[in-house]
Amino acid sequence: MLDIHFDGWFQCRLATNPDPTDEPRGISGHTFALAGEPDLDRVIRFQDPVAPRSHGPEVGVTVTSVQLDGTELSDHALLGASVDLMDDAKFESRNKLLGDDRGGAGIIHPFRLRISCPTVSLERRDMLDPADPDVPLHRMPPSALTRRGPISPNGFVFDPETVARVTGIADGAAFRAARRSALEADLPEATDATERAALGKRIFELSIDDPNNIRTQFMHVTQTWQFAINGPALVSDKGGAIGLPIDVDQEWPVELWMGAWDADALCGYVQGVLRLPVVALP
Amino acid sequence: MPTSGEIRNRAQLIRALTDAAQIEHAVICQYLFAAHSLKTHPSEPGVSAPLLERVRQWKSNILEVARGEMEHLGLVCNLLSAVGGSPFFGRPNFPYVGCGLPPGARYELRPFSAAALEQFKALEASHEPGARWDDEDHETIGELYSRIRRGFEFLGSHDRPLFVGPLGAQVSNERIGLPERWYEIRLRRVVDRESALEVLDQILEEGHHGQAHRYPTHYERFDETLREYRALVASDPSFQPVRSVASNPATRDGAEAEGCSVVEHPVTRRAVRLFNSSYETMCLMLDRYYGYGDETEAERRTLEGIALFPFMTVVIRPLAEIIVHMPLRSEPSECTAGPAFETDPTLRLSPQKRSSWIYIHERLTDLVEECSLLRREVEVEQARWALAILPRLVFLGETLEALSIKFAHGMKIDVQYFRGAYERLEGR
Repeated sequence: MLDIHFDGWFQCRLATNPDPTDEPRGISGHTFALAGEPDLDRVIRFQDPVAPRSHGPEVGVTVTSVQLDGTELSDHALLGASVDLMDDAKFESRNKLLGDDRGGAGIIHPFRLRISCPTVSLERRDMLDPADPDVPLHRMPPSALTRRGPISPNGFVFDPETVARVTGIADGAAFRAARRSALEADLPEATDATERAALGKRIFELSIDDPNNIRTQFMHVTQTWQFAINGPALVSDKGGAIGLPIDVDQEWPVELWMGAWDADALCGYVQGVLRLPVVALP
Repeated sequence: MPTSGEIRNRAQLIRALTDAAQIEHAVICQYLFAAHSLKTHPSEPGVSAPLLERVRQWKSNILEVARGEMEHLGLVCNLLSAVGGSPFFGRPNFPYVGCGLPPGARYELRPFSAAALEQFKALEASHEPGARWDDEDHETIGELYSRIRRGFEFLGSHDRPLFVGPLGAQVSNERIGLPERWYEIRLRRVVDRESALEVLDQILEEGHHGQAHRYPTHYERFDETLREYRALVASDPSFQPVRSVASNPATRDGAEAEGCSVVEHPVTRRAVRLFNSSYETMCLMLDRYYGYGDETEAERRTLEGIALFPFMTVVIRPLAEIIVHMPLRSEPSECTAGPAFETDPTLRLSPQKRSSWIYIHERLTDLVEECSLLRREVEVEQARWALAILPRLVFLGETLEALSIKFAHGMKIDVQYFRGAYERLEGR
């Protein structure tokens, strides 16, 4: 197996409970479209964030390691390759309406993963129902979504150790306090009324410093998905940069966790691995 | 009007708790109506970007209080269940005179305004046990709950057992997996006299007393909002944070005579009736959930996963927010409709659960069909308001389908029949 490890910060401009999924600006939850920003669109962006916020993390998910049967390939062409979720993928829980009773963010849908660099492009889509790939998500019975659901019974897992190890954020409350201080320092320089309104809202939210509040708690939470991507695969490999024939007939296992949710920046961290079966040589 | 006088038996206690349930239900609807009348999108005129942040906070404040009242209604249902009563989700249609109000006042659906907020403040202030209206014949909310409290104290010390209801019927944060005070919800079970008194004290404190001011009370939320609203209106006469939503919108026969704003626009009328039917369906499910008959754990989880969460969030609220953009009348006017919360007072579920599940599922599939018809009518309208609401209406249709499917699977209703219904909708 050729294991493609990836990680980085992603952006997702989504409404959160108790707002409805399609709430355009955010009212009662802990996420908002600020003054001057477009409506919340729920799209998970591994690249090219929309209206990125000041002092937020740099969005970009890339390949960080390539291993063949456990052996590191330190100069592989895919190192640093861009990783993307295509087709405006979203977290499809819809206020826990879709899927089984497990909590969390639900499934990621559509799931079409692309890894690309100048010489290589790997892309594969997962189909919830291979016999009927175009059936709308909301018409799928709950059991059909289980394979793509979170592996934990509760969806989210409180995992501060993983978050701290990977992101360096060990104290969510302190992290938020530092962000608030940075924004407060920016406020006197902001002369535009819209900009001031946006900064004011961010500062207000960051001033909610109860460590048990969902805004702080979710900084230390992860959710893991693990399934085999089963749809048609597209592999473009100019000049054989991958170095190995990838088996496009077998499913491609993928495992990823997303978490370390930064409610102020509307960003989270993703870390995962795409496992590519290699065609056995005669 | 309610019964009055000290509570000396179970029947009187159940009657007083039923009055309390009706009050909590009425204020929920009032608060939601006012909240949804507020402008929240930058495309709406009359509100600058900085002031839109304040308006957003006001809507958030009012919705937070409404969730608190939903918690109170849940706690009252727990109290009813504990003493052998039934949960109660009924009430008259708006506007009406009911318990807990001062003389001359009515429970009404009114858009956000200083007058509405003053009434909300007065209602919350009346949670004070010592609060009095000027008329002895009109009991305040505080007096009612104090009378209930004395009733529990009296009856709880008797030889005859008071707490006879099934504990498993009650709803708690622990039962539904909600950390305490997330989304301002703190639901607790009632098992004995002490826990009953604690629950009653919680209801009164959250309305007005506060827990040593750790969390703002409902009164404080309204007071803060009203003071800021008055200050901003005074400083900027062009500030218009409220949509032109008509008070007490209604679709029922004879509503005009009751002082309602009759919804005349045919498309809006369909939307308001869809809202009413959705709201009724939710109340039926909640009644079954809090009532607790012989449901299996899986069936109970299904009701939780639909009625308790997320029906209010994914159907009632979005549909209310759609309707406040829709015209009240057919002739051009700025006046819009609002969520009417109309119900059929004869509505009941069979105590036999299998037929209840089938009936509820049919209601859910009817909602799917009604939403589809509404969507087609909105698509034809070509008006600015129609274009604005269409994306949310499409999403709502998907949501209703998903709810229907989830309910069918959870209650093991044969979905083959209903799959045909969805396909027929697609083909129209």
